[in-house]
Amino acid sequence: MSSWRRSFESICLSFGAILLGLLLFGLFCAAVGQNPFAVYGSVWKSAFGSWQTFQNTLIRAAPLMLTSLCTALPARLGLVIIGNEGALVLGGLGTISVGLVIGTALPPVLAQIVMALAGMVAGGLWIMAAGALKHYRAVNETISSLLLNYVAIALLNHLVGGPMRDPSSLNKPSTFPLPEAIMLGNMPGTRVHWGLLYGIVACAIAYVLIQRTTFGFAARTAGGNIRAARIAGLPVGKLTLIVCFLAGSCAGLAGMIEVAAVQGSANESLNVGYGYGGILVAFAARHNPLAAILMSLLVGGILASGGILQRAHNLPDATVLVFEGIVFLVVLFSDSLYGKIPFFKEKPLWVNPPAPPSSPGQEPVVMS
Amino acid sequence: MSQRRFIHLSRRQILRGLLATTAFGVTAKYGAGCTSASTPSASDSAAGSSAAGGDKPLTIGFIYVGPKDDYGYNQAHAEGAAGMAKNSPG
Amino acid sequence: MKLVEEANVPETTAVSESMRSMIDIDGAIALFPTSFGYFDPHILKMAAEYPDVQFFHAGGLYQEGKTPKNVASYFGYIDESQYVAGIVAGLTSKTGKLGFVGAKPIPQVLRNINAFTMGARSVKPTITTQVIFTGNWAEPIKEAEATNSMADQGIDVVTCHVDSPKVVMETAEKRGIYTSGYHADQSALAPKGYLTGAEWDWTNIYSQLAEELRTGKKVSDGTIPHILRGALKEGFCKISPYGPAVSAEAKKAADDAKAKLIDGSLVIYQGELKDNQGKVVIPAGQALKQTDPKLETMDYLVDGVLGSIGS
Repeated sequence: MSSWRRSFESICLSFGAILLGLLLFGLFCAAVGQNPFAVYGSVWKSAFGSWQTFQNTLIRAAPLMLTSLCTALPARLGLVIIGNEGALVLGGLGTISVGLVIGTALPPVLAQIVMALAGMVAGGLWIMAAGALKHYRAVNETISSLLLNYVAIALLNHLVGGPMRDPSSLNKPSTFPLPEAIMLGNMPGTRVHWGLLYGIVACAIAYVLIQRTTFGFAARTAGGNIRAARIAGLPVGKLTLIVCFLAGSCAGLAGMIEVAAVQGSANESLNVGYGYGGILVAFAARHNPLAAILMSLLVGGILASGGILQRAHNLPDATVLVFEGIVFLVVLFSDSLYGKIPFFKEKPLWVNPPAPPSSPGQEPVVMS
Repeated sequence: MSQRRFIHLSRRQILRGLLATTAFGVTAKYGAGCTSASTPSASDSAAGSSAAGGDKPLTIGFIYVGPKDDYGYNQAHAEGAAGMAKNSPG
Repeated sequence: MKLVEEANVPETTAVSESMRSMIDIDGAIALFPTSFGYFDPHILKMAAEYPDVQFFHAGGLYQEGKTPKNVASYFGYIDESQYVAGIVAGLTSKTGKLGFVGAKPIPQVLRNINAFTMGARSVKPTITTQVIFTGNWAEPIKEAEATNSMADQGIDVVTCHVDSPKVVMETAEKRGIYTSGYHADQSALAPKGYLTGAEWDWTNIYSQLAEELRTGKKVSDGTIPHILRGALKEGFCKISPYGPAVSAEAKKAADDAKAKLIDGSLVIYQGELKDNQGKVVIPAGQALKQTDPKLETMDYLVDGVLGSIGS
């Protein structure tokens, strides 16, 4: 029963929250002796002001879109998965392993597709493991996926420092580099790599899948009430595994992009916090894949403005984290306001429902 | 009761937010204006300095992977940069 | 000279974007992206895109004909400072056991471990250095654990090669053992136990480069060399002022060694040098100067170091 008031409510609350966040951040800037309006101007200029600077935002937003799905999809099934970083690392490892084997044997487009599939399968299986532990062994999926992050990072360090190490990478151990020919380039006319398009498409597919298909309906039902879903005959186990696989494959794809479009090889730079950023984006977007696109852009913009805050305003490097933190806190807080503001409430069909007839037996008993 | 308090707070915040938006919009406009105005001057200074480097101060950029006060690798470089700026004031 | 700075920039697209804004918005004519991991691919890409901007990178490998012309690589052989610090540590230690907390077994770290150990053994041949690798550049918990376990083993001087020596220094001071610093001066963190430390002297190098840039010199046309290397003599590195626990004898021995390193009469890596497996790594009669490319690929721990690379 959604109506314009409902949509209006979510738009107002989200934007209100972001504005409130900006306001609080302005107070913070004023407190450390900077003119908030000058800071707002710089932030706007460096994040969204011109096409040149907006590309900076887009570049930073691209991996977040994909990693946020790793939390957002299982959330619809009632699972809190935070293994994004691990799935991204595994995706990167899968990509480089397959990419180095293929080399230039296949035409570039085909090689890229195979690498993307490898990254997605690697990341997908990683998160599916957390889902399987949850379903078959009742291991808490939040804890297991978090711990799997550490396993993934240790695996990365081991492989990059040992078996897969390029001996010529002396002081920064890395794998052998991918051949230049099969690297993912930039989108024509921009300096933004194709990862952005992958991210937007993945979010759109995820949205359709969750909101517009019977599969998504089944997943949401199981997320709402797992017992009811079982009684209704939904294959909860299968759903858990599939959703976890899809979630992990999105983060794995982010790893593939980091390797094939940015780094060119796998090394410790894979693990720079895109996964953790994705968790925040997913929660702030209320696990809605389309909102995740916008949230990623917002976070990308905030991160893009981090440089100018340091360079032009002499604010400390942690300022951008304060900014991000404030915005997230306010956005999460705004969640609690849904349905509490009378203006946005659905108008009841009957304005004054008749008071239930009072029966003598139910009158309050007065103790004397 | 607590709900009502939240509502009032948020209304006030929305008002303030609206004020902030207006201000934000104005400054953003100003900022955007600045971009287009400052871009040529930036390339000017780059061109001027690369020619001979005399009139305008040279701009040198430093990027660190960690915080500038880590008592370690990054602090060593940041101290070096600060020392450089002190030794050659422009 | 106008200085623009950005800190906490990860080694990914973020650093490319930071470089781009510094050039496009601030009009920077020279950039110093200081982390080793910025080099490939980020600096290489940006240098190709902005041929008029000079890029200076700490530790990267400049390859003639392959690396863009406007890239220069600078780095110091700070193992000379570590050698001197090792002498101070060796003469201060009562137990004859030193400790070294390293991040990763890469050549730069191994050179520091080996030089520190050889410095100490040059004054007390029975000394050993226990080495623990934490696996990453910033692992505060593992660094603290490593330092504590070293103190438990009776090690009484620790030094390190991690991004921030803060945790190692503070933990060691708490445990009442001596410390030898790295990267910068950490005497404020361990006022009692700080002996000395191997420090960079970037102020010196950066001021020289800034002066050259001001007079119109460039990397791209070869008036500034592509490869800048040096040690104590060239002022790339130095040692921290001696702490209160350093004896007059140790100060003298260290100053003598420093003078010899500067005038070139002392070479750290000379044969016969064995690794800690007993294998000869530098045959007798051979001496490897700091600039020797063989040292850049070091993959061994010298005799006297307890620990292994393939951990």
